[in-house]
Amino acid sequence: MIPHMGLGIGWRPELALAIDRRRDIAFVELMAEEFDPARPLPAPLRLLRERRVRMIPHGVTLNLGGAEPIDPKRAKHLVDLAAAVDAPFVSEHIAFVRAGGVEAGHLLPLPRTRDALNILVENVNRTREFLPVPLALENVSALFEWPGGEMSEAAFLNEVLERTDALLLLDIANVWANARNLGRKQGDDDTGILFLEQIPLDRLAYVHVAGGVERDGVYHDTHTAAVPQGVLDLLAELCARKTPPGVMLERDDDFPDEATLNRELDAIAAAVARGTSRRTGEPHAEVARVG
Amino acid sequence: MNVLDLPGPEFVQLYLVLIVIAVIGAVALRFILRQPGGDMPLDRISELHPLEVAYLARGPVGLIDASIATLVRRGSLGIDKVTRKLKASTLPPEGVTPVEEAVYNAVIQKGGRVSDVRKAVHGITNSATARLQAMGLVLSDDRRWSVRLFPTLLILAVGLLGVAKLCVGMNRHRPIGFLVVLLFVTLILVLMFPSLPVIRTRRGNRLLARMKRVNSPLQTSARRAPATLNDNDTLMAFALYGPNGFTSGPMADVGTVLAPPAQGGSGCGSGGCGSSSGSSCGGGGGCGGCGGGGD
Repeated sequence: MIPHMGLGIGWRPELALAIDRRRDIAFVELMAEEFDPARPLPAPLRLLRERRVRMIPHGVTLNLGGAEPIDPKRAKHLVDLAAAVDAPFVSEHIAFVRAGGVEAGHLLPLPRTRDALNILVENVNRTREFLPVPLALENVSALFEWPGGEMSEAAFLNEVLERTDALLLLDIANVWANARNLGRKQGDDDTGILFLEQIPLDRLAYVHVAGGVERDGVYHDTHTAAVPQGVLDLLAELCARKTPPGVMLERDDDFPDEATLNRELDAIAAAVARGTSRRTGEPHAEVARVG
Repeated sequence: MNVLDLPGPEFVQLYLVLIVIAVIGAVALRFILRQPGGDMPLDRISELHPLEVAYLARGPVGLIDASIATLVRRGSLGIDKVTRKLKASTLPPEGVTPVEEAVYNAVIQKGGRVSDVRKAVHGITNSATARLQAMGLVLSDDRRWSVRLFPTLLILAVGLLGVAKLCVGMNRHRPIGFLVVLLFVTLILVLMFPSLPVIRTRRGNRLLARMKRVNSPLQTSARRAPATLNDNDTLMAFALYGPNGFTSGPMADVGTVLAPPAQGGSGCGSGGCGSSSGSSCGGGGGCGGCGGGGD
């Protein structure tokens, strides 16, 4: 059963004060590799725990899409951290990050081939054997498509979720970015709405929202800028179809002051309310909370 | 029985027992004399001004340093990182506290060396503590003397007994080496006890510990992203955690000037000292996070 969570944010030390003061934050996402499960949580996170704010470990190094077997130590780290923070689930990426011992330093998209899909499914299922809690898989942004693709991104995502019974961490900013960068090129859906129609929203665990920058006509999901209106509109479209159990802001650098961060969070909450209101027919004011 | 007539070894044993009891008694007496105890009502904590919190945390020096930080933040004082001196810039705005005004004037009159400024302003810092005393958070001057004096007298009393026995021993040409060592240790205790910091009452201690705990997010953000904090938050972080609470930015520069000069070095500077942050992240390998367009 996917728990209802509400509004969340990626916890960063730089944002500790703003997060602590924002009393409607119901969950925070922890970059799993930044924390040692054997040591006490940083004091600001202990305070959040006292307020019963949920914590979701989010990994970036498991390399689920890689051809190499899953490193048991990395999987154990995720398991231990989940236990340490009583996480309802953990999350990772549909991506590969290393090959032949070389770190990419980046979350790279997978070729959408049957072989790559089978490897991903095998790695996810192996990882799930370690995990005492469900695993949510996140879609990544891509600035290019591997040649020889055999299926669409939506079809790829559908099949991996079905074959692994994993949950979905939908990065709505990545959906929008891919639609702009790749969909537009192909003359396809360039808003991301069609993608939303094709994926299993009943598996939705939570949603990432972030802002990026456009350079030379290409949108980069950098998590260092304000969330564009297009992403917020797509979030509203999602909520017009299904209100996610949780929606969170990702901000990884160029940190804003507290007032600016609050405006970002308010905009996300408003987009959720707008979309939900369209689906339920209730006015915005009645739909004040996410989920 | 006259204890001074006890054989040397027996007297030494008795002396050791008495000095241990005296030290325990001195610690207990310090605890008792630092009244009141208990907790301050939560709703009153927000009444405290950051400069009052600075005094609560680190006494007169804390208040002076926080006043310097306030004036630097407002642009009334600048910092010369080469000479490690303060320099007056614009006039302080209206409504500054008497201590801030005294700091500004001391910079102009005394040449900007921090130690000179602290000396010049020290005498008026107590006037800023009336509210803290009324709240039962800090000790008055009289009470501070009591806390320093009476526990020390306990230890001194035992020490005087030891000196008396020393004189008897010397008169009788008995070995006194061990007793001399014990009296030296006693002397260290007699000098140490009055020099222990005495600022806060027990209630003040509990409040400060509580404030540091609930403000740990402020401490973390101050270390990692000082530019995101507003004036009040910056000053509160400085007041609670001191100049070492910042590892970059203008407040870290203030910390460099306020800290004693490192031997053979220029201190940490605004680049930071590399000290571990309050967030104590464990670190790990891998991609270094989701930013950069891949997530």
